[in-house]
Amino acid sequence: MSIVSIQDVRKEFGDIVAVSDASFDIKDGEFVSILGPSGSGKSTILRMIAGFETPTSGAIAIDGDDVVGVPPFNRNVNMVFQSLALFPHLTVAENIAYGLKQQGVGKEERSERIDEMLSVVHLEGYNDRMPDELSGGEQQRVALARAIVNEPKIVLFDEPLASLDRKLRQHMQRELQRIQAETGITFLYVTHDQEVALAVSDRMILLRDGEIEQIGTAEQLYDSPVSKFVADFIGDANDVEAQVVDSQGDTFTIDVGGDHVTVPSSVAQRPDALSIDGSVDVSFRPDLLSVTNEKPENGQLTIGGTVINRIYKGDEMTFVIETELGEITVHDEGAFDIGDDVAVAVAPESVNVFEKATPATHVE
Amino acid sequence: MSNNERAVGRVSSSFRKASDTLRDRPRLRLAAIVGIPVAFLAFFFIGPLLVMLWFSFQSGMPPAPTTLDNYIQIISSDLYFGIIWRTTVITVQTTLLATVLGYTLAYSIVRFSRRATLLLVLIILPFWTNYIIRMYAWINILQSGGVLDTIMMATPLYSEPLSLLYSQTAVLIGFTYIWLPLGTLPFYASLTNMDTDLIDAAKDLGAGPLKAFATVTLPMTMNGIVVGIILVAIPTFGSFITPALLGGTDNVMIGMTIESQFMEAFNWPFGAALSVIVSFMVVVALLVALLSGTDLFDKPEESQ
Repeated sequence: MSIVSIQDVRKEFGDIVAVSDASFDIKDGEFVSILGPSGSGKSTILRMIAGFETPTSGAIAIDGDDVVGVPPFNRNVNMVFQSLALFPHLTVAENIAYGLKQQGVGKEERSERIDEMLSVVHLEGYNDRMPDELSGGEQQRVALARAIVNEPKIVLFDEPLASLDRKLRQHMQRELQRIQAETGITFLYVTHDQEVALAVSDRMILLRDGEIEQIGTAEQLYDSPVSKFVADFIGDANDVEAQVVDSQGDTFTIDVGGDHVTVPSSVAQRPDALSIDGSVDVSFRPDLLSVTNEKPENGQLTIGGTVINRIYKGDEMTFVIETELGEITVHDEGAFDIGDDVAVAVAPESVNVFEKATPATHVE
Repeated sequence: MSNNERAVGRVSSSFRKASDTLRDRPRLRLAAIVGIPVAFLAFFFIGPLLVMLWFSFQSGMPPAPTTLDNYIQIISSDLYFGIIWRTTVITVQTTLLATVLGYTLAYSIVRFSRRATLLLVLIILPFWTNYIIRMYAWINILQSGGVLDTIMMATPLYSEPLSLLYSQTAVLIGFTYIWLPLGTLPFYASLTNMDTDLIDAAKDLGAGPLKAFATVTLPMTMNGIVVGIILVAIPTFGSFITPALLGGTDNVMIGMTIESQFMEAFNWPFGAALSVIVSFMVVVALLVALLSGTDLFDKPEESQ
């Protein structure tokens, strides 16, 4: 059953289209991320669900009820703000009690639920502290407790972890997952950081210039990106240009820098859109490539080049290889040095082929 | 090396010596930094206050015997108690009007306007015109048959002139007009410093606009409110030009009485005693405001 349903939602600010015709559903108990570069409209979608913005057109339903026009204080959703927005003049307990008081929850039940919440977020005994006496991580926990204590249908996160250092952020990501599993509340998390989104969410909604580019699990977005944009945004990708030279039904042949390679048509999201002699974008993941100085296997695509950088990564190396198609990054083992002449081997089934990307039409 | 350069070298080396000396002696450093302003305040502020205090215990123009008569006369007379009471009432009314209007003005500028700077300049602009000239403009507006009466009688609402001049209303209008900038700027400062996410958070947690204002905006801006009240109340309490020009003889305030003791009755000791009492009241009020102000700011709500 879907807890949030967005239908053809569009939001314009003057001449600027912040969100155009977005549709998606979030199931009860899901942990979904909205991912996109800054200015892609992700916070606007969040603020429309919270009730701070009204869509120009389209429908938003929370738990089956149409909420367009319902003010934020009458919606059963709660938000964790980017700035956290803890009330600096109230104690931790008073911050958490704020929403309960508005609902008219009695004093005794309030203090019970505050203590319960503080133990969920592992801040037992912090009741009488003031927000400015807490560390960044502790403030995050209070902000989260203040939202989930109201038992909302969904908790909205507006990049609250962005200000934390990497180690604390990763710790808080695991905490978010634990708390979500414990409470069973639906989480919708907005971020520009693909690492966070990949780590925490069941599903991701990838936005580009106000439009939904792809919705799916981390694996779907990583393995089967629908566009060069998705391939570049999720994980690392090497991009080269190629021409389609022949099509054989379930395979087609492309020309990459003069070498012909035959790839299965499943590597293209829309094989029908590829025309013979047309230009295509080809992208391949650094960890699916290998560096070699031996004769390549038959049928593999090889691109010759020179190692220009090598970065030690513990269990493997990252090589940057200068080729006539541009720099290519490879994660592989091997004892190659800067200056060595090598070849990058690409397995045909590991590439992604896209029709030529259309440039972004509007800029925010 | 020219003489000039040598002189510069000497000065800079003695500077360096002085700063080395100061670095090792924090007390001396503190004295060097605050010494000049403290000396200035002592000579031009505390000194005259002490002279006034001394004057208030004189029985006549000095040299004269020391006496408590001036204070006894003030305390035993209903006249001065009445004037101080009226002054207090007008001060409270003015402060209330100027802070409520000022807060509303500051709030609308901060929240609803895109031309905040222009509006702030417009609010401050009247300060550039002389106080007395502005008061005379108000006389022109408020007097019987003046601008206000002419406008009001052109409407079907009024057939009689209002004749507001020389009334307590006129004094209140004058004060509110004069002090409105002082009652707006501290609120503007504290409102712009406030993170608007806090209001969104309050609404998100179920508080309607009024509830969010009362539980978040108001306590968050309490410091600015206290500053605004102090800035308006203190000059109003001691003011003598506005009530003299707009209030006439029925709205005498304590500042006018003090002024006439010095300038007309030439009874300096008595004027000094009145001044001491006014200063004492202001200091007490200020302490109360500051104490309650910090109190309100630290715990605006009973903890539960």
